[in-house]
Amino acid sequence: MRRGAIEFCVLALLQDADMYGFELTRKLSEMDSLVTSEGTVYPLLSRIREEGLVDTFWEESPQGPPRRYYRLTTDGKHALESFRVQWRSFRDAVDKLMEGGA
Amino acid sequence: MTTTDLDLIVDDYLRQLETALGSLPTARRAQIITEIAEHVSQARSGLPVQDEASIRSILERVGTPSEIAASALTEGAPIAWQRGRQAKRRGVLAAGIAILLVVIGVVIYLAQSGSNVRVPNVVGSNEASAKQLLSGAGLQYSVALRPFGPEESGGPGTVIAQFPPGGTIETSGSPVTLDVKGITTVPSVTVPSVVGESVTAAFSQLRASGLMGESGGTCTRRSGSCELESQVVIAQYPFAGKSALIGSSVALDALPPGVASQLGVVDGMLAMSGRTPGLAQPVAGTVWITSLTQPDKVEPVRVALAGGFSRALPAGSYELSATVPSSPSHSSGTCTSRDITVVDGKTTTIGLHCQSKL
Repeated sequence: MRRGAIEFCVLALLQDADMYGFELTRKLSEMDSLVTSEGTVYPLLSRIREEGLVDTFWEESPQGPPRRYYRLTTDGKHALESFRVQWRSFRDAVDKLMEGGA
Repeated sequence: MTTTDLDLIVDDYLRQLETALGSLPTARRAQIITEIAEHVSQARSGLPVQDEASIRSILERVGTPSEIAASALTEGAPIAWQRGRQAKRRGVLAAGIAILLVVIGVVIYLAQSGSNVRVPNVVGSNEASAKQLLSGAGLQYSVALRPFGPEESGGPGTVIAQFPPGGTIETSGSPVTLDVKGITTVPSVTVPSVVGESVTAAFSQLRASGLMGESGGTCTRRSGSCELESQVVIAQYPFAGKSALIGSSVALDALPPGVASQLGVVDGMLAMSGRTPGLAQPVAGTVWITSLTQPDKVEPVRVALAGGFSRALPAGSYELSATVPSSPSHSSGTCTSRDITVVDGKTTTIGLHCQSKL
């Protein structure tokens, strides 16, 4: 379940700003229990890029080598929206059960 | 430790990663390795001190090659959450074929399990005889093609690596992955012309052809998203009409509508690209070629241009920048391109980024 959700965490991170790989993977790895190692995010990025949920572009960096930025496509935005709806009802259902109120 | 020694640690890591990702399709494997290499160089550029301990700690955060390979292999599997109706199903055919092959492999494996065979060493043989040897030994094979391989590994069609290696004992019917040098039987497509199209239209045309668009950003923004959709493609690499591996990237150089003509470096030639489809003739100028992997070691090379240039360079990644004086036929500007892969002394340029001093 976690693996399936990480994809949408990536899309969610990109909804406010485009990010380059290093920035994106570091953000994810800093969140507890989301990803084990930064490198494991790249196969996922490669897949969602192929599926057209994100695409990439290059940009100069103020320091260091140029950066490959990821950004959300229209398909990616739709996929994120549809996940958001599913996730909320899933989370509410689990919360309800966990609190013993069901 | 010198910078070169530190580069070797990174190179060594990337080589291990390449081996670990051996069973992935070439395009996918190349993409993951390229981006992890980029990740490492971004991480290094932020280091106060470049030393062995800090490089090793960067690599540790990236994860072990087998960890990344494990994650890459599970990427093919179905996921738990519905994507909604807009979700793209591109790659489903390829995934379907891959799963089918795995299923066939498993069926054959189960049918034949019990007898053990010694895997023959086929590295150095050509693809056809390698397949014959493996079938003869009662093994399955799958071929992963590499667009190019190490110099010493023979001509196109030569097996440059295999997994499991020769001499290993495997159950009869097990699959052996062969890495074959050269584009021999890889499914490839003809690159469509997308120059003159909007970036959005170019991306969907490329997707429809089984390719992936990659845009060279000309936007300047620090917050929010870069609006590339409205931009017009002024150059593409590979060129229209060339053949490209399915799933590979086509680099696009795009400009907002209304921006005057820009300079571009394409196919080893400094060329001017205008808003109209097609590229103009090469112009005179000067080009600086700097090694990206050892920027502090290699002196920039100046190449005088006279109707384009060609220059043999050792294999590696380079940054190429060009400055061209203003003339009646074109505006002055600078052009920086990235991801220049030099193979066999031939320069290939992708990932263009130009800025015009208007």
